[in-house]
Amino acid sequence: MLVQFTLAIALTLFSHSSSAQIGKKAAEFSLPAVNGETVTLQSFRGKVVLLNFWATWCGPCREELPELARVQEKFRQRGLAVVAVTVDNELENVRSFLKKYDIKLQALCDKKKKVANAYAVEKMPSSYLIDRTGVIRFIHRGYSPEELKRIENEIDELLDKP
Amino acid sequence: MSEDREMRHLTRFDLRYSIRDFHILKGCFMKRNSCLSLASLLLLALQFFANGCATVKPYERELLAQRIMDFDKAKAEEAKERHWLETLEGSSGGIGGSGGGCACN
Repeated sequence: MLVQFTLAIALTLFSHSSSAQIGKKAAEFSLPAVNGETVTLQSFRGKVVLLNFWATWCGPCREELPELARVQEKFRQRGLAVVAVTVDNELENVRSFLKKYDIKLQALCDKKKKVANAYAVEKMPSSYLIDRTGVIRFIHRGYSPEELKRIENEIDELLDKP
Repeated sequence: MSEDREMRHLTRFDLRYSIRDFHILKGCFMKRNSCLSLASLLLLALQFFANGCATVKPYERELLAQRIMDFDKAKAEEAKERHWLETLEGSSGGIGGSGGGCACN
């Protein structure tokens, strides 16, 4: 009976465990960019990647994205790639948002939400910091200026590593 | 002599209560076991049935994030419409809210 009880608790606790975890290899994907070309995560190998999940209908995401564009510019020379994956259904909304705020980021469209599902996105926005070898090093959920500061420090730390 | 009888009586009395306590304790222990068993069964059942519940994931809330889905979005419009209706019908306070049209609130 004790075994049965333990099993029940274990099943309840671990049935929804996330696939994207710190220290694990980031799941590979191939998504269409806003401009039409297909982009893979593999193509960023050797760079530090900040994989951000966002949407035009999400308030904090709209606040965060221009900041991420600034971070991209700040660390571009040192080898940072900010990849902004949008889960919007309407691509036109994404295009007009990026144009309106003059955001120059690699924006990919995950209309079918397959990549968001693979990364088990729990909050919007969510950012996954992937090192040069393709391993997830940090996960950030939600947005706040303090959180962004932490992200910048972590990027700095990862860029220093070979 | 009478004291000795009393002592024996007390011992029998104590023994009877000890046996009763033992049965109560045994009952509690068995009850605890059955409770644990029931709880584990419930957890297992929950495990199976919870998988049938669909939760809207954060990245699937595009339609839910629309203004039309907000219950409070039309608060200002509703207040205007209520004011118009109350003026027209002379029914201030009829819909609800504080005061009964005495202008004291």
